[in-house]
Amino acid sequence: MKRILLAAGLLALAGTAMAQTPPLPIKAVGMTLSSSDFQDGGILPDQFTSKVNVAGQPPKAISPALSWTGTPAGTQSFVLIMHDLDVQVGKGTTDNLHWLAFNIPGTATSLPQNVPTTPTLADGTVQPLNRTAYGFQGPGAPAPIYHHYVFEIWALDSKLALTDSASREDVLKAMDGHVLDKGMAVARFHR
Amino acid sequence: MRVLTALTVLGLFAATAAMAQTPAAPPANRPPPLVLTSPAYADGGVIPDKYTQKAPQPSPSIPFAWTGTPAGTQSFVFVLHDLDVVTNKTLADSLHWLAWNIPATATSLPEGVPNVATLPDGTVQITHRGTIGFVGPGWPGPTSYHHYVAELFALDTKLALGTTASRDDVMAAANGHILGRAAYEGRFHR
Repeated sequence: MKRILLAAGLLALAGTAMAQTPPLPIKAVGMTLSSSDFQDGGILPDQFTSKVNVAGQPPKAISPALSWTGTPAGTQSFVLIMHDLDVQVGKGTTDNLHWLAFNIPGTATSLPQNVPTTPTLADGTVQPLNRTAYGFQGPGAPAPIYHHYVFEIWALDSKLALTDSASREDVLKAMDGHVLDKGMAVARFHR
Repeated sequence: MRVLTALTVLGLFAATAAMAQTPAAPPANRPPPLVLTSPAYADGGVIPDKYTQKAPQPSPSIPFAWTGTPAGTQSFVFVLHDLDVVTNKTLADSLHWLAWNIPATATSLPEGVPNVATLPDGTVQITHRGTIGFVGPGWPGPTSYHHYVAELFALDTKLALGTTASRDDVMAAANGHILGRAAYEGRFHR
């Protein structure tokens, strides 16, 4: 459950919540992720999507600005995962990864627009190979149905001893047992 | 962790396939995609109180409907989960509803699905947090929303799992059998 804060007032809140079935995960304040470039639950503007890409040229789609609040005490690094929930890969339970970044410094509170699509950033952030490129890849769901692109920021109590050759699975395994909290926002898009 | 780990570990081969699956142009004869909707709230919008823990419990389940069932579908798995929740430092989020062996002929889940382990049509609903079936959103945070994502998976098989199966069991059994998937998102805070 999300971080259980042990302040007395919150215990009272927890007690209230538990009196209803089923018990609730309680936290008074948790991480939130937001973007000045799209509304949570809203539509991702074209400049952040593959709609602006031109075949045969480097992608023009840029990453949206993201910022987060409520970083838990003890956070050593963040992982950012952006994925498309509406795509199945083969017949497996995996969905479609659009962006993965880890070892974002624990002091960070935002990512600017247009994060460079390089395997590593100056602050130590690592962006492993995602499909065929490093860093953010703009959504490109075909019309007419909106896909759901989830941006997740995960606060960890450690840094990950992984390189830019790490897979999504490697990163998730390394995160497991180290997650202090997470925040998220959803954008929708189709061409 | 267990759910996601199972998903990701079992999805390793699939993930590799994903990497090969670069922005290919969709074929012109692409079948209509699986689409999940709800008449109760707009996609990305706020879930009405009547379906949440703000209402007397148990609240009625949220109605959902879908179109574009893939050819060869034998059953559906339906999951409703709160993506914002962290459990014991693991990757696991918070499950609110899991149903499987929903008949392939079904195109909806009506409002107020009974909270029983097995429905007359063969659908099995998981028991979790001491409750069978739908558990309404309840995030008590005063200002920030949690994200409750409904996901529908069309499978090329039925699952040979009984009422004691876990979420991990269901997703592990579904892995390798998914013909299509669709999501619908709602938000809520008290």
